[in-house]
Amino acid sequence: MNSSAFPSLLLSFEPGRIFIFFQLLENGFIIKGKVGCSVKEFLCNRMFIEQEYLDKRIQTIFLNGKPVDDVNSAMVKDGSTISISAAMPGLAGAMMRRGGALASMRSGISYVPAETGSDSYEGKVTIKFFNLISRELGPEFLKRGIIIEGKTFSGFIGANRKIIEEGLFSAEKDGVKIETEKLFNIMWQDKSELVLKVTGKQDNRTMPDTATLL
Amino acid sequence: MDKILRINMGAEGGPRAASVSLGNYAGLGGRAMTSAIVAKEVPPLCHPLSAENKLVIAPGLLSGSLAAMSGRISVGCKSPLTGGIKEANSGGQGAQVLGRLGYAAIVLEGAPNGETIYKVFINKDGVKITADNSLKMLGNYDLVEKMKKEYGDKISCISIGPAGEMKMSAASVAFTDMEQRPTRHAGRGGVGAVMGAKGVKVIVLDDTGMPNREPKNPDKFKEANKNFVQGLKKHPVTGEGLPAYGTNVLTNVINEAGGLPTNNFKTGRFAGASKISGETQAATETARGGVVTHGCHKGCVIRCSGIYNDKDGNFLTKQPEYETIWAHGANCGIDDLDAIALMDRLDDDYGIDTIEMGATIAVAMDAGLAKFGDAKAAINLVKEVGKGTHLGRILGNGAAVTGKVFGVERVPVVKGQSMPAYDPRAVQGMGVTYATSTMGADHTAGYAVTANILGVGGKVDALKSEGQIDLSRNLQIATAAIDSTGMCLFIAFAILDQPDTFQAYMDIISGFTGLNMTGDDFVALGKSVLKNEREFNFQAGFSSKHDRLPDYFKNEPLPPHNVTFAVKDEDLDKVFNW
Repeated sequence: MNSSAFPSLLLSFEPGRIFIFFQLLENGFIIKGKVGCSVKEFLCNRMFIEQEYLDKRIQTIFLNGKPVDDVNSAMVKDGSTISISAAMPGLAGAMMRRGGALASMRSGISYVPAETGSDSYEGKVTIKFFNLISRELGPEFLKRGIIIEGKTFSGFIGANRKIIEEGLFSAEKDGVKIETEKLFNIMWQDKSELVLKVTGKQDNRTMPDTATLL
Repeated sequence: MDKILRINMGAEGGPRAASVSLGNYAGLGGRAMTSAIVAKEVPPLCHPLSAENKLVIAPGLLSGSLAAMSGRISVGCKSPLTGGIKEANSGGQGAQVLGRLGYAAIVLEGAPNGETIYKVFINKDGVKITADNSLKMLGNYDLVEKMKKEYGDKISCISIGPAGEMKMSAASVAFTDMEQRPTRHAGRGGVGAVMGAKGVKVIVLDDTGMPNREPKNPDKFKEANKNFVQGLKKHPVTGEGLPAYGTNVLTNVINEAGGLPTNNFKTGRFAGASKISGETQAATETARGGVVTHGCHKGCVIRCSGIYNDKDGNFLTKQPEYETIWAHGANCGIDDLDAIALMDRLDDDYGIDTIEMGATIAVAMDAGLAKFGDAKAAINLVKEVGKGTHLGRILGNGAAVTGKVFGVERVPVVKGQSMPAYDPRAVQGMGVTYATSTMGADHTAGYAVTANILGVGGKVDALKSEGQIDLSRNLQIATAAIDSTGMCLFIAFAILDQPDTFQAYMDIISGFTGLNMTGDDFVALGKSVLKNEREFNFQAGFSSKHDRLPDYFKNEPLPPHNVTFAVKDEDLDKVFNW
């Protein structure tokens, strides 16, 4: 599956305000390609997240809303949602940590590995980046390009119009430069999905189409 | 801190203050002090608003020293909300200032005749109690401004708003922060109502001319404090996550886990969670020129608080905590950060617990007083409380009372106190603590994550569900001990993961007190606090039958995981077997 099937939007943005786009990562973006693998395989080999980063930084992982303790046995399927977070405060935050000392306190919702085949096949996965993960991986993923739903993007730019207008240097839709005003006039909600790339002002070279990653 | 200030509000001829020695309370601080005094001196069967009840305000053992994070202060009494013993604690400047003034506790006793209200001024020269009816029904913000005009801008205030004066069971006691705003609250259990019953509107503290408290072993203390701070700064939660987003960083995570109580605990997922998350809140604060990383008292190195400005860039309130965002947000179906922040401001001004208030509004919504998601209606309900209308007085007495008055069956309380921001069906270990805590449903009662370091009750297998009873016991013990030192509970994360930081913590206490504090001593301290509290509650009429969640948590599955609370009653009864 190729992301070129969707409209693409490239935004060149003030680096200091790029954090505003992290909301989109928090809400969830889409990755299409090979599934039927472990969470570890998916994160490290298909999303190219360093294993050291996974081991040390990503302390909390949810697969379809269930806290994961073992990234090797948790399987990613078509339609899965993977949410990743750094270590969280609070008793509940500690409980959610993978393999943490308090994991038993949320055992009722913990991910339990199912016996399924591991053949890889085409599928669609939703990824959510929370808190420090968003801050640390967000710029790179925004630069690579993320697939999001049109209605999500429409709601996002509507709610953040002022800061987007202030921070936007240039916008290109499907490779053609568009005026800022037009960015807000396009009926994004009518598009099922789009590929969004956001780069810092000094980094506005055309990026390779890596939104699908796989 | 070698003395206790006892103020008899019912003394003949008017309120009278006396400074007395510590006696049998020597060596106690914070929750250990408040619970010891209440357990020993308050008749368990007394009415919480009567002259027999006492309000005890005690800084932690280390407060007033240079120990990092030692700015918590405990407020204890018999609770008007639960009918049992209560300790609610707060940040702000109060602990440090009271510690430097040398008081291990202030005890408000008796009750005044008539409706006169009083202000109490304490500085290095002594204590002055003055009747001042011009303060009546002032909100905490106006009150503090008035006190600053009268006593100068070096003061720290401990006060109640209109809710406390009206003796509402959800009333809080406010403490001013570093900017002298009344943003920090001992919120839970109606401690503000007891202060109101004592006729004390405000205690003004001025520690001008008073030095920091000195450790017995300065070298050991200094070295341990340095190591402790390093441990906090290097830990990802205390050094990065909390400073970057505050406690509200939990909203997305708990929502993802399906444990964020929504629309009065009907589901564990809130569609609007990302609109009110810590990440969105931090971005909003930054964009409006607010502050994301800010301490609530001097000596805080975690700095999980912040400043929330309105759309025009003007101060509205401190950065609302996760529990507040949940209570006024997801639990009421509201996804408007500005509306939630406004309710936080109103709660602080009226002097009312944000958790209890949000939970109560959700119950009121279930009763049909407003629609879930209607922010304007929710704000108006909070204002009813501030005005003291008949409806407001019902709401100000909490979720249990409101549920009874309006015939709502599903009221999420334990021992009369509202559950906080974690559905116990999704996070069952939290449910064990909600059920068995001496305080009523309380997420901080079993907060200190030191289980396997302390090894209380043996090692716990983290991945077996049977472990949650043992874990809850250990957590409650450790929390009671931390609450007694005056340390912020958030140090617990670094302690969990870093044994050297735990050792540094013990060494701070040892270096300060001159005693050799060990892990065993720490456990013994926690157990002694819980023993006092459980004995009081037993004498007040509580039994194991009160250590239960409402039935519907056992019977009604919580979406999206469709889980019920499955811990057996007989297992709950084992929590305090030690």
